[in-house]
Amino acid sequence: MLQTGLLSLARSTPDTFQEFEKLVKTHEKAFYHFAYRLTGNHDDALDLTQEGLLKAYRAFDRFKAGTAFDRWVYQIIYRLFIDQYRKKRRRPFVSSLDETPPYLDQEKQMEVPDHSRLPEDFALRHELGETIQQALLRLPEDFRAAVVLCDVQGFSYEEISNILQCSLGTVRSRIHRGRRLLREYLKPYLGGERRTNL
Amino acid sequence: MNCHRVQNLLSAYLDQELSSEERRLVRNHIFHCPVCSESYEELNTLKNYLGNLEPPTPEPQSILNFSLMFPESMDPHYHTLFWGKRLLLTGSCIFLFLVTSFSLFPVTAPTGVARQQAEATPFVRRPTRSQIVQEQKHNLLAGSTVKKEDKEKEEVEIKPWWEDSLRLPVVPVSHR
Repeated sequence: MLQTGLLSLARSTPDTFQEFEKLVKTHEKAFYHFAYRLTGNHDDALDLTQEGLLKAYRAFDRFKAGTAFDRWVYQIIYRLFIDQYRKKRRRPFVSSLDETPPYLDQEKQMEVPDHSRLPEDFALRHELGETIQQALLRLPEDFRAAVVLCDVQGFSYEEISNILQCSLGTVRSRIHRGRRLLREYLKPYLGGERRTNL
Repeated sequence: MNCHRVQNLLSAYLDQELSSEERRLVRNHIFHCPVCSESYEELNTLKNYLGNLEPPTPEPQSILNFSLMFPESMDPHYHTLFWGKRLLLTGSCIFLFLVTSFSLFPVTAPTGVARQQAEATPFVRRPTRSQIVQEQKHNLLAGSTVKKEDKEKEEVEIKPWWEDSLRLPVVPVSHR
């Protein structure tokens, strides 16, 4: 085993790895951010990013130079995420005693907004970030990925259709429906002062 | 343009993914319709929230750390060779097993009584049909003394070999 490791180390071209590393370094944080918004926790996001990058490196010779590297990796990460999600769904449900069980989700919805500051300031606060993340996690995976790519990563619809490998119409409808659901989940935070006065 | 249609287009309008004509229509509608304008405001706020989400703070080294953890798996050719070696090993094991088993238990010729019997009865090939026919013809032409048994044989009509196989099954009339 040790010998194979050494042999392969000698064989792997340092140029390829350095090129890959350089490309990854520029987009690293964005990949991690995307993975974090999809999975909702740091450990899974780190696993997903690492696994995605490892897959990308193995298939690096198939990457066409001149095409967008980040979109290619996003595609890999998204596919990995969907596969993992399917696997996870088959596993038995494990619940934590600290968190509220899923049937109490409805009760958790009664959230009281705090309008002491401007909504823009709110977004920067960790608390609201956490709330938005929870809302994102309640979305179906397809919608979540589309909304995150559009609003968080700032891709155009065409780029998203490339990443998710679906038509423009599908992207449009996924984003539309995803946002509509998010709007319902985050209703108390969106209305501003007008809504609280009612 | 009615509210329902505008509501469906609002998301795309927000992302500036509509044609100029559609954009103009939606803008006009939002200006006049308070319900749609409120929805637009909400969606806009939502988009701002999502866009302003602070990125999680990863340790940049930990992401690329896998290269240190699995140096051999970083080689793109690692896996093909890895499995190739395994296949080669399995193949050689099977080959060795076959060689040893054949050398330990060779395919034995009949021994003892069976062997004696086999040697006592020499191998005689059964004459083929054409050979029989030829012989009979030869006998006829020769006009030599034909034995009684041979006469009987002669009378037997020689059918072509395919006749049996060509015979169709007889289907009863009632089944037709």
